[in-house]
Formats: sequence, structure tokens, C-alpha cells
Amino acid sequence: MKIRMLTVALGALVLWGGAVSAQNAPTVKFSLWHSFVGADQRAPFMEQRMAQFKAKYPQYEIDEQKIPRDQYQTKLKTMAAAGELPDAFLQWPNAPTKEFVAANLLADINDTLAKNKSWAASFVPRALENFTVNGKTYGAGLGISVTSILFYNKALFDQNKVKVPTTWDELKTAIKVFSAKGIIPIALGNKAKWPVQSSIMSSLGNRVTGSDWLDNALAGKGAKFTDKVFIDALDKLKELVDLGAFNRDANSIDEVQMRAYYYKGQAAMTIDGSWILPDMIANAPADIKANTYLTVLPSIPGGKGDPQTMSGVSSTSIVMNAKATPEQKKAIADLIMFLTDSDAQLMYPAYNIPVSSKTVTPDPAKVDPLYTKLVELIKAHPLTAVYDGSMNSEQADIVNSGLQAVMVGVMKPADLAAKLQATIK
Amino acid sequence: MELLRRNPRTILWGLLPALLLYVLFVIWPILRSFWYGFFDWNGLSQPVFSGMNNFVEIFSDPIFWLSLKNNLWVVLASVFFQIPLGLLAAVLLNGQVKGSKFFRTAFFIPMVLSTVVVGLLWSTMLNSQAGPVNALIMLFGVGLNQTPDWLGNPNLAIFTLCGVIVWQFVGLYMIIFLAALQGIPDELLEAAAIDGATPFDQMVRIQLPMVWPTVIASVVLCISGSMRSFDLIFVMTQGGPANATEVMATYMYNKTFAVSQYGYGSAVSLVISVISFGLILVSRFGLSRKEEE
Repeated sequence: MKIRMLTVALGALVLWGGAVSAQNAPTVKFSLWHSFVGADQRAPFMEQRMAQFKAKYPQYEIDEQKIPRDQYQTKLKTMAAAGELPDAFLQWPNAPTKEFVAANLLADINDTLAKNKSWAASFVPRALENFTVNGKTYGAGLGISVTSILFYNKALFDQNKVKVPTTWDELKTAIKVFSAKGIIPIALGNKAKWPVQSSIMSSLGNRVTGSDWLDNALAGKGAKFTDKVFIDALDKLKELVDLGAFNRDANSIDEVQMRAYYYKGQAAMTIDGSWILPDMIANAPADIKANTYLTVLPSIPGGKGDPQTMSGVSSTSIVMNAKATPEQKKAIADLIMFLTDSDAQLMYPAYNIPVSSKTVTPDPAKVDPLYTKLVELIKAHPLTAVYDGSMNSEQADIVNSGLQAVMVGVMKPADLAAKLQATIK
Repeated sequence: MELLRRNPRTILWGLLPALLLYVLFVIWPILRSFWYGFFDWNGLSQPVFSGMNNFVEIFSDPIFWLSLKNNLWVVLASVFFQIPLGLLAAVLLNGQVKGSKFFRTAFFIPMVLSTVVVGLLWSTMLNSQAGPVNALIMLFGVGLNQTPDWLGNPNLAIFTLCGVIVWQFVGLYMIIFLAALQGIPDELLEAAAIDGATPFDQMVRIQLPMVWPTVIASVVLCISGSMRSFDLIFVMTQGGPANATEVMATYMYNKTFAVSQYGYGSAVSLVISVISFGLILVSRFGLSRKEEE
């Protein structure tokens, strides 16, 4: 008897609920998983933006689950294997996206991009390219990560009458002048092994080899790691080390100590990614901050790459499950747009997230000047691939350790090239 | 007691809970880990049986041999410096020397500090660009670029680390030997002194033989401890520069968690166990024969 009453009550509730939403639009329910929680710098952004999303689209009913970053990818893979993925979820660019696409787990957003041309055109190309597989785009990055920015202390350059380097020779001159005066030319902290690969080699390599070479070499089509261009690029890195471009302890200190040299004005330049920005804004002394400018690595004579590029990768994006219903797909597409449109991008500065848009201009009065400089840099310079973003973890490990070995002189560039080539099957 | 002996089942039941937990959380994972050594497994996918492939790969990887060599340096430095220095400190501080309490505490302090603290402390001290150790050397007129690059020079870094490891653990062995020395009856030493034995004679002829079993135990402790040394090296150099300070445990960690080759990492752990076990057997054999003589 009780059960029957409950059923009737529930039925009434459902009818009533349906009637209410029928007045505007039918309710669409979808589940959403992301890792913007806890210390993640995108967590407060996501919370604020989701509240706005729900206010704008009351007909969407979202079952939102926040899963901490370190468990997230494992959990996602497990659910994918069990065929129980949520309708919408956060996904990483490049390899993880490709893996999911290959397993037919994702639905593309090509229609949405085609229908919303101005939104589609606002992106830094990488933010979409890193989610594109075989001509189909599956996501749009919530910001980007530039991995290779040359930060320089303009005051030190002016005092020592050095030109900010735009060519390899100018860089060498700058290194010689600064080291003669006891100033560290380029502060570097490579104890963790990946910084040289991510921040220096990804850009330096691209300058010498051009953009297609890395993809071809990794695919084993028409290019090899043992090609002369790659060995030349490694030689350039070694040339910098031999010139004394870096602090002596470069391979035994971490990034925090590296920044300290720069913040104390003991180093004229440092090469780091956009992730340094929140720290620099918070911790660098005011005079250093005011004198800090951002640029790309200098050009290399005879290099095949575009000297205006910098290496970088898209941030994560919300993607949609291939099994979602058409109504759900529409709702999720609305969400993907809502998180990356110009209004959203204007909210990024508050959390120091580098924008993935080349059309948005943050209000200089409201954001830190360094952040404004970063946005200008992103607008002016196209992004190229980051080595470890394109490689598998074994290859990335070989490059990370190998670059260190080349720098300290225990491995020849040709040997590192051969070791890498051996991983191509 | 009599009841128990007549009833071995009771003993079994008493041991069972602890044994179960131990088997479940220690023995079983170790065996599993050895088992995975024969698989190609990235931690997520289905493990694929690969026979001896992992082992063939380990023994043909020059970095593995480098890490083994480095590990042996750590073992040698530990056995031949930690134990003699610890013993020396214990003998010196055993008597009522002035300030012995202060020195005992001072020598033991590194043991109380967490390894991360020790690592950061020495990384800063030995920093080649701005560290106080090199600043001291520069006082003697040596230029910055001529001072040793303690942690950045691939030929030097492992020995620098050995020095720090010795510094860290001397205090532990000092305490162990002090405890053993306290067990020697004073009358013995007094009688020897009356018979004209110098303090050196007392040390060599009385104290050393009497603490010898403790020395043997310490050597085993020392070998097994340095075979799995990981934390200090991980904090100070992360195995770098260019794998120059890689030891077997950092090699295993790197292969397992950085490169996601769980099967390969398991195989490395099996190899480490076998080598450690072998070394301990050899040292026990060598030292106990000495004892018989």
C-alpha cells in the first residue's frame, strides 16, 4: 500500500516537473566529470562559470562530478574500459584524445564549429588542433600552455648596452657580454630533466628542423631522428652550454631556485613556460617585474622553422561521449562554447590562465602587466609542438635524460639521436 | 606452556591473524611483483606475458649497469666508512671524555633529520654557483669555474652523494656500537689497564672482538640499507645529471612510474632482491669465517 502511494506521488511529481519545464524547453540531463577541484587554478573559474551556465540554461540538469587530478585520468580510463563514461568529461590533448578517438568513444564538434564561425575563428590554432584527429575536432582548449618563453630583464640589457637577441649571433654576443660581467646569461634549473626539453629544445629544435620534421620522424615517414637537422639542433644546445649560457649548477637545481637567480637580478634571461607567471607575479620584486619582457627564442641561421613560433600545447577541454543523445550533444556543445567564448576568456586573467583566444583583450587596468604581455605574445606568435607532448613516455624519458647527458658532455648528439631512432618501429 | 606444546593448533590459531595480514599485504604483493616481472605491462592495459624479455633488456641496458656500479659505490662507502667511523666515534665517546654527551648528540642529529631536509641542506651547501662550500674554497684564491661542481659533474656527483650518505648514517652506527660497548664489563678493561695495555691495545684486543657480532649485524644492515638507498639521491639529484647518480632503486622508480613500464620495473625489483641477497650472503660468509679464526 505504502509503495503504491509513493509511486503515485512520484508519478505526480514527474508530471508536474515535466509540465513546468515544458513551459520553456524540455529538460536535458547530462553527467559531467572534470578535475577542476582543490588547488587547481581552474577550480574557482569553473565554479563561477558553471553557476553562470546553469543560470543561462535552466533547462539543463547537470550531474557534475569533480575528481582530483591525480586520480582523474586513471578513473577515466577504467570507466572507458567498462563502457561507463559520463556524457561529458574533461580530456587531455594529443595522445589521450587520439587514444579515445581510436576506441570510438568521442563525438566530434565539427558541426558546432561550422555553425559558430566567429567562436571557431577566435582560437589560437593549437587549442583546436591538439584535439583534432583525422580532420575531426573533439574539443576546444580551456586556455593554453606556452612552454618556451624567453623572459628578459630589460634593465640589465640596457645597463650593459646589449641588444635583446633576435638572432643566434646576437644571443651569443649577449651571453659573452653578460658572463664577462659575472651575470648569469640564462638562468636554468634542469634537475627535473624535462625543463630543457620542454622549454628550450622544443623551440630550438623547431627553429632548426621545421614543424613537419618531428611528426614525420615520430611516424617513421620521411624523416629520422638521426637526420642531420636534429643533430644540428642538439649541437646548438651544446654550443650554448659551452659558451657558458647557463648557471653552472643548471642540472642540479630545480625551477624554484632557477627563478631565484632571475628574481634577484643575478640572471639577465630565463627560458620558461607560461606556468611561471603566477609565481613571478606574486614573488618577483617590483623592479624586476617592471623590467621583465617576454619574447620568443632567436632565429637560427639556415634553420627550416619559422623563427616567430614558440612551442606550446592546448590545455584540457570538455569532450562529449559518442553515446550521448542528440539533445545531450547540443547541451554539451553549449557548455564547451560557454567555457571558451570571449566572456569566459576574459575571466581567465583573474586566475592567471593563459588565454586560448587570439581576439580577446583583457582590460590592462584590471590584470597584471606581465599577464597582458603574455596575451600579446600569444596573439603574435603561433604555437608549435612540444617534444614530450608528441612523444610517448619512453621517448620523452630518453630525450629528457639524453639532453642532460649531451649538456654535461657524457653523450654525443649522434648517440642520443640513434637511441631515439631505435624507439621508432 | 605445556598445554600449548601439546596443542600446536592453538599456536597456529594465535599466529593466524598476524600471518594473514602479513601474507596479504607483504608477501603476496612481493610475489605478485616478481610475477609481473615476466610481463609487458604499462599499469593500465592487460599484462602480456613476455618471458625473459624484461631481464634480457635490463642486462643489456647500460644505464642499469651504471646504476649497479653506483649502487656498489654506495655500499662500499657505507661499509668502509660508516662502520669504521661509527665504531671510532663510539670508542672515543664511550669513556667519560669531556663533552662526550655533546658530541654524541651532534653525531646523531643527522639521523633525526628527515632525509629531505638532509638532501636540501647539502644541495644548498654544495651548490656550484652560490654554495658556501665552494665560497670557502674560493677564499683560497680558486676561481668559480675551477671549483668542483659537486653535484653537476657526472664523474664526481656519485662520490659527493656517498659522502653525504656516510655523514647521515655515521650517527646510527655510533649509537649501535655505543650500546654494544656499554655491555663490556668495566673490570675487564681495568684489569687490562693494570696489566699495562694501552688504550689502543684495549680497543683492538678487547673492545673490537667483543663487539664483533654487532659489527657483523651492522654490515648486513648497512648493505641492505644502501642497496635500497633512494630518498637522499632522489632529493639531491633525481639520478642526474645524465643518469650519473642513478642507483638501482631510482632506476626502478623511474622505469616504473615515469615511463609507466610496470612489468619492467617489477623485473628490476626482482634483480635488486637477488643481488642484495647475494651480497649479504657473501658478507656474512666472509665475516663469520673471520670470527671462527
